[in-house]
Amino acid sequence: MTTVVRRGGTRLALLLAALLLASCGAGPGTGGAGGGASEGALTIGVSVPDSTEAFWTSIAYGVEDEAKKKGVQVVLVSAGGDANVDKQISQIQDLVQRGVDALIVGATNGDGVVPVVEQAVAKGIPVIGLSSIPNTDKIASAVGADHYGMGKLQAECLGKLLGGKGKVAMMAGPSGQSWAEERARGFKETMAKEFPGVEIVAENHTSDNRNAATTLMEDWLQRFPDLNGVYSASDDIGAGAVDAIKAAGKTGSILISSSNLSPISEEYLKEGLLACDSTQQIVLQGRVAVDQAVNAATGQPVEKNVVTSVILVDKDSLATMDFSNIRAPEGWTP
Amino acid sequence: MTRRLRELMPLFILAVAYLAFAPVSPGFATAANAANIAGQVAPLAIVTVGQALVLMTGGFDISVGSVAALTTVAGSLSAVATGSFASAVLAAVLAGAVCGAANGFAVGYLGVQPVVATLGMLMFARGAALLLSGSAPVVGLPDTFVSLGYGEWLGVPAAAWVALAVVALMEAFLVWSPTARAVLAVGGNETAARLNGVPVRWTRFVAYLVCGALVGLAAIIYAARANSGQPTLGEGLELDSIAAAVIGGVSLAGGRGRMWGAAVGAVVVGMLANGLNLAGLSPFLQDVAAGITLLLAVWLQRARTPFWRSRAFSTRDARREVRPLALPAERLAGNDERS
Amino acid sequence: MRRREASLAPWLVILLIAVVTAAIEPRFLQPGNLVNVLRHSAVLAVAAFAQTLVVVAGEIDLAAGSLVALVSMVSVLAAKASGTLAGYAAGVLTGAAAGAVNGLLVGRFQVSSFIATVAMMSYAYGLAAYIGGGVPVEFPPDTFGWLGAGYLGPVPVPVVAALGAFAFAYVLLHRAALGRKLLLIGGNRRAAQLSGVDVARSVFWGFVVAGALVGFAGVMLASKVHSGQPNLYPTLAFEAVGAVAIGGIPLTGGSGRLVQSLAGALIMGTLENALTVLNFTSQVQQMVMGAVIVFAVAANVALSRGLRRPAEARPGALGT
Repeated sequence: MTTVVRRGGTRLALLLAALLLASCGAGPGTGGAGGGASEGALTIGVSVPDSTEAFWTSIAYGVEDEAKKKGVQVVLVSAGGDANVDKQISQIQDLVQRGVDALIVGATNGDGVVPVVEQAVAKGIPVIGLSSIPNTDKIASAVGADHYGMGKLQAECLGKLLGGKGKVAMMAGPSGQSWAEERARGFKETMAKEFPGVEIVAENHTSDNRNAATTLMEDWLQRFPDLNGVYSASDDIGAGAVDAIKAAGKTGSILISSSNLSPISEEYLKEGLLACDSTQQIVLQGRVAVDQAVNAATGQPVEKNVVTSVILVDKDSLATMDFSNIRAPEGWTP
Repeated sequence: MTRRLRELMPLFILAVAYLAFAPVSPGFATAANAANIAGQVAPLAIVTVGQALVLMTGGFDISVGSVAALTTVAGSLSAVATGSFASAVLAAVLAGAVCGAANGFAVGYLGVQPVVATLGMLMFARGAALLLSGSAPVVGLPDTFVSLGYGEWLGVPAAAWVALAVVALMEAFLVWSPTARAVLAVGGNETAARLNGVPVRWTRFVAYLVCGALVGLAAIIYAARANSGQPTLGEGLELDSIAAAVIGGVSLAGGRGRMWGAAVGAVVVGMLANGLNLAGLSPFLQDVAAGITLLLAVWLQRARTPFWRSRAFSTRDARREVRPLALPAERLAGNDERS
Repeated sequence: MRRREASLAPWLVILLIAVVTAAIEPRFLQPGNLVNVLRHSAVLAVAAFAQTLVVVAGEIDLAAGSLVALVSMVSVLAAKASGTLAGYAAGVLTGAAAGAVNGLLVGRFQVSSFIATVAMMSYAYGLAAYIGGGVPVEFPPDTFGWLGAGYLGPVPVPVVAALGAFAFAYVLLHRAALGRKLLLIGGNRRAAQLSGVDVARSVFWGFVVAGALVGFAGVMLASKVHSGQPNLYPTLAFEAVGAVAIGGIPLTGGSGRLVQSLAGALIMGTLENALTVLNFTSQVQQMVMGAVIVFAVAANVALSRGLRRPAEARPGALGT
């Protein structure tokens, strides 16, 4: 019996050691901006849906780079996926608990975070909505991009290149995500209005994942041998479609459009595998959000609504593109 | 004495984690944060006691996350249609019970292994949740939801009171109800239970059904926290709830565990996430730290019974035939051959 | 004789799916589409072979979903640094190393394989994201795409690779001492111990080989998408367990033929392709897949009960 107790004791000690180690490791990881929290320095809590996505990595870069310039400390939390609404709610509550001076929230779901955001505002913490905006008028400012416009730009590009007729399939991105739904709506409505000759033959809610998109495209190539175009909600989905179409030797006969202009899309645009890509200014949104957060926390005026413009990029316009407001430099880690 | 110590182990783990975070996480060791954590873990705690009941029969329910999504959608749709909070609770709990009954029927009566049966439900319920909701959150819930998700009573979040009541009821159920004691008997020694006239299939069926109904109840709290029905809710909930139950001293092999322990396990899981968030660790390293800590906590709490006797995976256990029946009451009193 | 009938069942299921689908949508039977089915099933099949080695010993491996992501990151980084072959090797080694950690925990420290592999899932996911700073690692050498997307004549390389993995796992499971020991352990651990099997060591090596196979599957995937992805195939472990179970291998351990896992993986692959070709929405696809898994296994259980003579029926084992 004593053996059991003693062994239990060793394990307890080990657990304690591990936890302490983990928590000591927490020190230098604090945001990456400003180092230690000096007296009086502002702390901004940033909650994003998923920092393993290229998009939110670029957002985080914009936020942290701007925060460093302004001497503001950043605490970044990630819900680990768009599906994890409840986890994000808990994380926002934790940031409020930590006593941050302002919050920047990129919502997993614009409706789902409404009550927790309103709770934070009621406790006197100003909240800035970023890109995926909490669906409440209590927020101090909304900084975002025109997702509907991104879908619209894709439709205009494909519709024009297809000469106003043909069959198009839609990889509409994850189910239940407002950015994906908005882009898809922009695409569908624009097609219906401006290019009625283009028929949308399939719409599938793939997860934001290159492998799933490749598989789906391969099956579609069999199902719709006369397909002319593919809409893709974001770059990894688009890259998956490109890979499958390239492997089938159908490059050029099926045109693909995408959104967000990640490095893989840049490469595919250059090689002529991707027809066009509508992009938002991702890093810029992060910077503007920090501006607004600092203003809100220090009682200066904030802009209620900032919509950063969206851009359509093709092979030609790519050459003169300035990426500094679009994505994080290669190798940067939050 | 050893058994007593082991039953108290979840509390030790809780204390250790608390002490480890207190000095490094700003705002962690405050009364307000304790209330904060209590509100956050409330739905997980409810799911965990349901999961614990299934684990005690030697099973697994990996469909709880998807079922939470389906029931939160069902409850929200019903609330929007009728404007009544009560109808939402009824719809969610009923939908959860139906899913649980389907799991229980497949496991108890069709002889499908728990992992497979609930894996099927995991996929089915997720698809159904997305289909029912049109893949968009269900909004427009009555105000009662927000009061449940964010209201407080005596400084403690309303959701935490609900969870507390559920855990207390389930603990009482486990100690006093013959059905719940049959659960432990089935998980501990199935053949002996059968020979003693315990209705094994029925017991399994009930355990899964109750788990499903509890998930439906937790789903109402999830809906209350998000003030909407989220069809994507609950990814990873199965793993969190099983980890919480195991940290709380419930044996993966079945036949052993306490409901209050499972609830403490849920608090440990929630506190870990809270502490890491407050500390500001890089999000990627949080996953690494969470995995390692889970492992350590389980190692600390590890059942003396090795995994191969877990009924979820093993139906052929040579020892089961020769081991004498440990009566449920004796198990609770600690006559456990493993201690 | 009867056993043969039972083991034929999964193949009949594939035939049934094919006939029904082809009747509604003849394009299903186009050679190009059939090649698709094989190609898509290839990765799942390799993961299912890995799962089989673990399952016959009465254990389970739920880490594969995150592990292939970690493998893809490491493999692409290594390929960029020192060439395609180095990349492939690094991927397989990463898988084997993760398998060794699992095997050590499960075999030596007797942590339940459920918990050990779930923990592995968590930190492999974190590491995969951390290595690349959260973004995909792009642009390995062009030759890197051979394993996942290349062709040998008309046959896709991944199909050949899966057959190679089958041969490798087949020899280990059905011709080598390790396989015999794993089956023995899964059947009756105490008896295995008493007959001189070093249980901890065998379980360890079982997990190492399974990890290497998952690593191989990860390399196939990385090669297919030509990049390292922190979020590559999150549901792989669940699907692999599903494939093994549908193939008719009891998750209780102690029995199982590798060819059953192959059949299970093909059922999943055929069904997924059929549902896409029939243009079902992804939600309905999920619901059908879930229902089919449960019904297939329930039918299998019923079938083996029906075939078993009453005298052999053990009252204890059937009710579970």
